[in-house]
Amino acid sequence: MNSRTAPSSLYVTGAHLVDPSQKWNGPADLLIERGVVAAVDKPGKLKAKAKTVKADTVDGDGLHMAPGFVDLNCRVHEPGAEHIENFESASQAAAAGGFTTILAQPFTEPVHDNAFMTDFILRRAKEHSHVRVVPMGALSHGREGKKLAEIGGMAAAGARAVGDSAAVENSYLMRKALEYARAFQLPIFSFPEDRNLAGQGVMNEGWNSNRLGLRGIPPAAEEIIVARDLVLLRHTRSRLHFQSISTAGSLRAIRLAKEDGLVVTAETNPAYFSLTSDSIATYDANFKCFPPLRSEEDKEALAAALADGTLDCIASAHSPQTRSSKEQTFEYATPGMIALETTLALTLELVRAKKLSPSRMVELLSLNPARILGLEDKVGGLREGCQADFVLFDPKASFVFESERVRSAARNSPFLGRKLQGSVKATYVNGTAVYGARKEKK
Amino acid sequence: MSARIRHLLGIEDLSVEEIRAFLAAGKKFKKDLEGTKKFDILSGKTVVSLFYEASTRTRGSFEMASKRLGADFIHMNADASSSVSKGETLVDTARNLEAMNPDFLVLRHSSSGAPQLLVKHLRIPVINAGDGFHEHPTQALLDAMTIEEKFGALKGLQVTIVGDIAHSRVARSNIHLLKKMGAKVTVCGPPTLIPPEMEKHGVKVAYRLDEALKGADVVMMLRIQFERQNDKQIPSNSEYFRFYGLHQETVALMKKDAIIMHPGPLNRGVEIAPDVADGARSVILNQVTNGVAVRMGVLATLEEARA
Repeated sequence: MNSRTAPSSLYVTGAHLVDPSQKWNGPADLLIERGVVAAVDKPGKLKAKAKTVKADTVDGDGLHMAPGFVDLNCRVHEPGAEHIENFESASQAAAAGGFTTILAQPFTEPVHDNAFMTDFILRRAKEHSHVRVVPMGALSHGREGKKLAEIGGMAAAGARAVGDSAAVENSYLMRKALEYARAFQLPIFSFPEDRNLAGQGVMNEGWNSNRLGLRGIPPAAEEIIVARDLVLLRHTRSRLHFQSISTAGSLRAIRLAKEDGLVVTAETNPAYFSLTSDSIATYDANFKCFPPLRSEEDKEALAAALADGTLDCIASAHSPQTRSSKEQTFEYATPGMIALETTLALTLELVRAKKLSPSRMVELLSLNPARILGLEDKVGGLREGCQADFVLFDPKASFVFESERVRSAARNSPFLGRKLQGSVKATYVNGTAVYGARKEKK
Repeated sequence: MSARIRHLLGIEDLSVEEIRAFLAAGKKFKKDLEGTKKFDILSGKTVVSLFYEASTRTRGSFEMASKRLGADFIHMNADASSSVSKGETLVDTARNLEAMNPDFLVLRHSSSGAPQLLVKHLRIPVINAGDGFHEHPTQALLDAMTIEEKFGALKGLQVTIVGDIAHSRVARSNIHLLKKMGAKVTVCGPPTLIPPEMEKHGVKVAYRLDEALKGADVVMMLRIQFERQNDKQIPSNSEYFRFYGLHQETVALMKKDAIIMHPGPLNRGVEIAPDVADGARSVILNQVTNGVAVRMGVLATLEEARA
């Protein structure tokens, strides 16, 4: 991360702080020194101290403040396809979306499956990223699902999770990965999809796929791997995280596993609690993603699971693609959508609909993902001693998500041109503004 | 004919009046063709056909229809997967074609929704000659014309469609048209080839051919495309023929005046016995004849709407 200038002291005042890590949901002032939270207190209480240390004032009046969001599912494509997305562009998009930490998926070329690559990614990120980058290593060599990657080496070099970001077909390999990772206290990330069941499918199987004449992917393709991995987890007593959960059936299995005390966490992505396969009616390839957009029933079940704890976090599943890879028929288009800059607004939809409390939202976006990475002492909260990574946003302000304002190098979003509510005003990492610095109040 | 019709992408979007207008135009041309083979409705115009999938009948039918209306006809063959791998998008290809100033584009593509993608980027009228498993509107129109010739009207008729419903654009377009025109539709095939939530189309689903044939006025047999990864959906051609094929034994279950249709190309001995395909109840060649007339009707109607 490029913190070129040494962070000065900051006095953030006037904002409404939502920080479930210290059960705070109300007005608060923050004093930040050397990039770390020095004090949190009720409005006005830190004024004298701020004056003593000559802190710059950040005006948070009328805004919400939260610990910076931590994204467990973000594709950067550096190294390998920097023209699609790189640390510079991805981190700008992250900052614009309120994310201060991203877990870079092993969608690199060469594949991030060894410690040299972990080093390289961290070095590139240090030089070019505006936000904190945590590398996720591949589970298998070359992401081929055949032999274990050097999990220990990657962990020692700074990787905080391993997974292939694709289904591991071989149950034996999945079992061994779960066992092996225990030595390094790394969670295994599972992307549940049975490739045989998914077949050549391009959208959720159901009435819409029937009507549109597109091959379907049944929910069972996801649920069967969720079930398998939970059986393996029960057997290995390891740590497992599910990426991109999209079906009600998966939630039932995860709920049961949690009741039984297994160490399992799970995420869903804004696409799945915001959209359904109904959106595909015009064959717009920007709605194509894997797993596919599901039914209304699944969408409602996901929202409920975010609230009741079956799901632990919201990750963006930011998946940039080129224009030509989307200007194809639905069948041939590459799946995925950019999401870093729309995640907050879409999540706030659930808050406005009273499906999530503001505190639960911050748990899902900041605290829980930080915990899953084992980083909760530093990020995901703004307690004294935590890194001063935070976002200031206006939950009521609307904006049109126009092509010109997109910070990502890609434009593949189904929300392009749509009016969204909930606008990030400023994002700080280590007490330094990485997006929309606030005017100082003298 | 309402002015909003610029393209023919599918039957699902058409109103009953629009369907009737296309059918009426087709019937008129069929009658006129008895006197002359050449018209000048499209003289000076160019019809370009872009086919991303092999076709003999549909392509030839569009070519004949265009030429009989006096248009020039240019055919372009492309392969969906190779052009994707070369990096040229379908949209790029179509923009290049449009730059040559044709007046109509006839598109066949292996991907459902390909014409919907094109009309977002092109100004000229687009006629869907079959997209993936989605729609094949001119096939449904020529089928309707053929049925009406035999029975007078579609309303109240019982139509049974047999075969690979899941991967059939002919089935989908026919279902939309027949339901809109008041016919009753039953689809029949092995459960592996019937897509989920089929009943939402307002059709009956039967897994046994004898059940599906009972009371049917029209039996449409679909081509079984064994090449399309069907090896895990049906065990073999011979087993398919035994349970879902139309042969003398199953034909005996049909009503006396019921007709047999097939969009072609036939797999003799897979979905239909040779003697049945060539038998007295078969109207398969009438379908082909009507195909030219209906496509002339479609082109002329779209030209009229544009002018």
